[in-house]
Amino acid sequence: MISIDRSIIFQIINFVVLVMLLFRFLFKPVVKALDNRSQHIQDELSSIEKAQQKADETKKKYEEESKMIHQKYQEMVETANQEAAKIKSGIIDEAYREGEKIKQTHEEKARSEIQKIFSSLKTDIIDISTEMASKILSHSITPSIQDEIIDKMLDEAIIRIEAQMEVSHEQ
Amino acid sequence: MSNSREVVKIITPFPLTEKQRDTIYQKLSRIADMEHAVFQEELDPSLIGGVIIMCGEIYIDCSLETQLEKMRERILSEGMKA
Repeated sequence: MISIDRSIIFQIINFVVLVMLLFRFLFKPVVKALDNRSQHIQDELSSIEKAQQKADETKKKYEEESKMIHQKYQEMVETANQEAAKIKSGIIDEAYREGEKIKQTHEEKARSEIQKIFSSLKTDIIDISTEMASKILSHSITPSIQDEIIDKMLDEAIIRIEAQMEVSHEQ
Repeated sequence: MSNSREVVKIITPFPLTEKQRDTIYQKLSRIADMEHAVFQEELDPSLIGGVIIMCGEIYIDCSLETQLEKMRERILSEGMKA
C-alpha cells in the first residue's frame, strides 16, 4: 500500500490552484498582450507593405515618366536634327543659287566686255581700212579714172533723179 | 528747173577737164535747163574722186569720199548685226 502524505496532496492542490490562478490572471493577459503585439506587428507589416507597394508604384510611375521624358527628349533631338538638316540644306541650296547667279552675272559681264572689245576692234579695223582705202585711192585716181567715175556715177544719179521726177509728175 | 540764170556749183578734187565739163553739162541737161546756167567750179581734195553737183534743189554727191563713208557705215552696221 502506497502511503500518500497529506502534505503532498495539499501541495498538489495548491499547485493546481496556483496554475489555475496563473492561467486566469497571468497567462490570459500575457496571451492577449502577445496577440495585441502580434496584431500590431501585422498592422505594421501591412502598413510597410502598403508603403512598399506605394513606393513601388511611385517608382514605376517615375520610371515611366522618366522614360516618357527621355522619349520626348529623343523626339525633340530628332526633330531638331531634322530641322537643322533642312536649314543646312536650305542654306547650301541658297548659297549654290547665289553662286550660280554671281557666276552667270560675271559670265554675262565678261561676254558683254568681249563683245564691246570686238565691236571696238571691228570699228577700228573698218576705220583703218577706210582710211587706207582713201589714201590708196587718192594716189590712184588718174584723169581717165576721174572721167569714168563722173560718167558712170553721174549717169546713175541722173537716172535716179529722172525716176523721181517721173514719179512726182505722175502724182 | 526753168530758172533763167541757174547757178550750178560743181565741186571736184581736181580741176575739171573739158571732157568732164561736157559730160556733166550733157547729163545735167537731161534734168535741168542748162542753156542759161552759170557754172561755179570749186576744188576740194578731200573728195578723193568723183564730183558733187548743186543745182537749185538738186544735190548730187558722186564723190568717192561719200561712197567710202557709205561703205564704212554699211560694213559697221552689218558687222554689228553679226
